Amino acid sequence: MRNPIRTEAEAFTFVLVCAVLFAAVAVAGVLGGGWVALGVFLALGLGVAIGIYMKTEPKEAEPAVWARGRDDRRRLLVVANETVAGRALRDEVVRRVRGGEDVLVVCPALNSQLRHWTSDEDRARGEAQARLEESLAALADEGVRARGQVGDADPVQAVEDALRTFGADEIVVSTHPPGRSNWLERGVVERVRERFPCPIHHVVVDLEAERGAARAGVDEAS
Amino acid sequence: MASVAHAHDHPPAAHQSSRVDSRLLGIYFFIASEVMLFGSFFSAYFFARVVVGAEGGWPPEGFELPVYLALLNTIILVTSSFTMHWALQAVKRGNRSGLVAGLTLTFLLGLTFLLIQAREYTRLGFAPYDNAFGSTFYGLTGLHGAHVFVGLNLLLYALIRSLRGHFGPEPEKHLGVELPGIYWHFVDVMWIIVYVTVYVI
Amino acid sequence: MAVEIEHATEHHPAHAPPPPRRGLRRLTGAGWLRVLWVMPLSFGLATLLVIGARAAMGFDPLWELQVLIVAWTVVVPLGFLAALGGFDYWAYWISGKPTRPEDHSGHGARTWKDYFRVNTDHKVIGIQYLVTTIFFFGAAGLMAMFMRAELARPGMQYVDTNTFNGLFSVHASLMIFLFIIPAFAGLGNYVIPLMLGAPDMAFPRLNALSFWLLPIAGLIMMSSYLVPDGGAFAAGWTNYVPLAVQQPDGNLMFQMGVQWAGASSIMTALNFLVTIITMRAPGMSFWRMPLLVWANFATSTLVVLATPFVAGSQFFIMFDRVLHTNFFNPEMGGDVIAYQHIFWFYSHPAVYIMMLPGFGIASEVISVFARKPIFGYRLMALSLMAILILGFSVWAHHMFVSGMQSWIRIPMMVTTLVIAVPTGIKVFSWLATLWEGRIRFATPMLFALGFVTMFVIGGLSGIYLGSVPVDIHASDTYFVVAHIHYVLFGGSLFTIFAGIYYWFPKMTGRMYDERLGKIHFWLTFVGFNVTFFPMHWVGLQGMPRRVADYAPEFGNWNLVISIASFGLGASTLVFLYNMIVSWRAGAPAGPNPWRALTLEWQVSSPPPIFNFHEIPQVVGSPYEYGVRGARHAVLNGDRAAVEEREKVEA
Repeated sequence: MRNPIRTEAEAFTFVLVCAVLFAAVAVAGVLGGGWVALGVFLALGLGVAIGIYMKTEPKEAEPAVWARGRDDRRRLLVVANETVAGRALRDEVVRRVRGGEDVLVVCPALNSQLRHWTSDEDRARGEAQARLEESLAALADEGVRARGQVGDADPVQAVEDALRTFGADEIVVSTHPPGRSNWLERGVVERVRERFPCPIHHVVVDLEAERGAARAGVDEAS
Repeated sequence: MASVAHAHDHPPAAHQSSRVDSRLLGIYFFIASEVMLFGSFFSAYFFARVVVGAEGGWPPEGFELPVYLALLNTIILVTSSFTMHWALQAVKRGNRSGLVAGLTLTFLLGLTFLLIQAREYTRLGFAPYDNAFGSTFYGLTGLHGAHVFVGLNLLLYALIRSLRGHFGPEPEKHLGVELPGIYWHFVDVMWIIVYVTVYVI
Repeated sequence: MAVEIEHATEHHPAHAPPPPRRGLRRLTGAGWLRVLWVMPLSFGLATLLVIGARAAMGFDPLWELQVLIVAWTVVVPLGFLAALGGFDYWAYWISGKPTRPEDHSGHGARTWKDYFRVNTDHKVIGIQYLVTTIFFFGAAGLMAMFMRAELARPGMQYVDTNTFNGLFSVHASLMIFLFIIPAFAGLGNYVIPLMLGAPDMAFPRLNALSFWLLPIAGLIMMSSYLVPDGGAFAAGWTNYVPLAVQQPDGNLMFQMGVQWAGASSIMTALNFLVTIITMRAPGMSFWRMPLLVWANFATSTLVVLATPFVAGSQFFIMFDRVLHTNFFNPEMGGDVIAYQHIFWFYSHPAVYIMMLPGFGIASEVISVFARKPIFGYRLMALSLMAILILGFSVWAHHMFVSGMQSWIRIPMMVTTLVIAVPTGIKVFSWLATLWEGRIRFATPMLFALGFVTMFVIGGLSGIYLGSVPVDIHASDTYFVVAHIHYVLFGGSLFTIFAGIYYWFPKMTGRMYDERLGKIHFWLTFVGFNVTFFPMHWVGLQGMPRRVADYAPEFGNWNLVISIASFGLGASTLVFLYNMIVSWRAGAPAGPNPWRALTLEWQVSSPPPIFNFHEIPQVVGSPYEYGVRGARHAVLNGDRAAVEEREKVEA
């Protein structure tokens, strides 16, 4: 929540609001006695508090920090919420790697809300590690030598952490299709675009559809 | 233990992890603790009034408060908030004479407030040792008066420094006026609450 | 004692210590020489002001000791602080001179003398706090020894009842206001900026000033023994009215001492809050802060919001005594119970102020010495916040038998029992952290484990006391004394010891003697339990607390308790010996003897004067022990090493 009294101007506004509020309380007290005045105070005070909360502006994005590379090599950061084995993402990465690019794959350890708040991360990490290994293997199949790490549960935080040691020039973000996306993925592409001033490419990986198509292809072929 | 030859004669700049300036946050927390101090004095007042004084009526027999004189004082103090705000608007626009005028007016209005209150004390007809009513009344208004006194001091220092040309329009360059300004507004809000609670209701 | 740090003075003359003053100018520079003449001057000034004002207003007698005590305890400490140089920068600023750039001459310790002046380095201030609080711990502990000597057998042997009352009052006041609360402040002061990746606190000058308020408070309280006609304040640290108003003048020393200690506490808490909010390293979101920082964040909020209530309560007593007001005088419309409400509205949160930082220390130590991440980190942080909020709703459980309106007791009982839930979450979390960990039983870990067990016992007796029917029987008996010492000694003090041992290598650059540490722990643990556990029984059987004499049937247990307490007191000597000798001549400790992940262990021991050469960048949680590839932070120069390593691994 944003502190409503950050500057003197806001403090002055608060003075005016209080003057009006307590004038009302005073009138209520004179007319109805102490308890009426208390009731009016509580009601109006609650109204003011809600009003202040509603006026809270969304946080502006902070400037991001990252490690600029020391050499001329280009760097590609891949944020794989879903596995790179997904055709769409793999094609995107291969297309971007025009030879000589360093690729870092980060798999955020996406987790359910309950497990996130009870800090029960082991399964999420295990799944992210599995996604990571699958992704690295799939890329290796295509001749792309990438390295990888399991990242924070929040994809934007995972990007930020990776950028502190990996000066990416471009970022590819893969997400699940809308409707099947994890709660931590909400708004991830917009947030990444806001915070990191480099080209961001978004790929939706629909593994189920791809598997379905592959199966249909196999059925057809057989 | 080997001595550490060090290459830094000054601290590395700390990372600013919040958009709020640290000094503003500082005065904000300080005001929060002062509000709680007033809270303890209000608690004493409400214990005396509600728990004990309910049967006897409040104010008790023979005690009367100069509501309209205090209303005048309230108007004076609220006006001083306006002049304080004006002073800050002036310094943000680089208007030094406006800043000095605003600070001076605020100071004089605050001083007037205190003097009227002191005169009121001598003419009330009751003392702090007369009944819990007197004690809580003088306690609350006295605590507030002490805060006004501190505020006047802060205004004085700001005035001295503004006369010497220390302040400028950039936010960093007029914190010495902004922080006393916030404190002064807190003093004003506190008075409104004290006035309505003690004098009116 | 302090490690010599080479200061590159030949290249940067602006940062050399200022040239020493000569001749008479030595008396006008900030420091102890100036204190020597300013203090008597302030004393005289205060006296003259009071007598002059009384003469002008026609009061009689002119020499009224109470008024003078109030004036002395306000003006003389202010004079002391000004003379020592605590206000120098602000005085300069107020006078309107052009601002000087900060030259850091008041920063850092090169010799022992730097510890005796107004120093802006949080590491120096932390050590100042710890040494000062240990001194008051010793003083209050000696008072406890006197009490136990008197209580060893029924009948009065060594002191009279009034002196005894003074003993337990001063003992508790010193322990609470001059030991536990400031000791945690001192440990926090030292460790928090390092843990956050900050070069110092948000307000270093305020920090320096807030330390010096502490010896002032302690001296005021201890000098109550010197007040003529009545001696030390003797109404308990709770100082209930009407006794507090009727007591001799020594009571004023408690009231004024609390004001100074409270002011110190609030200033430090404000500093902690602003530092934690605004000076975290890049990448350190709130959910990546170590739990010690979370704990101090919650504690500091409690201090800022609650401490003004105890200040208010003591103001009212002072007004009732000196100005003859009627805040608590029922004959003139005052309310006696109001004092207890106002007092306990602070003093209950005070017990959380005295425990939450200890929870933070326990989390740090247990995680490191079990080599496991803290179980349920987010809930640990949230339970700290829950205790903070709930802590404001339980104060009247200290007043179940006070005669307040009886209906209040039910909601207070409910909230008191509810607050055991977040506390229980923490205890189970520590246990789960230990589960299947690789536990190393070093001294800090022994104290942390001792804390968990002893605090559970104290918490259980607290649950009993939280139920109104039990409390009606057990209130003001030794059952309560047992409870408070289990949570304050077995709880807070054990964690203070754990913290001191844990961070000793970081603060001094040397390792303490591990064998002596273990001896200290076991002597303390056994002595503590034999001293305080039997108090549960004698309390339930009816022995009241705060009594110099008691019914003969309690004599045997009291003898056992007293003997055990002397052993407990002696164990402190082992601790002191270990600290002093190890500081002078212990084995050098590297930067990270415990192989911990938090930021303070990533710099040298002791840390460089400004903590970090370059602000670290945080890339993960601080508790990822045993997690492959996990890093908490990247430090200067690390980046290149990390890239190199990753290139090889790829």
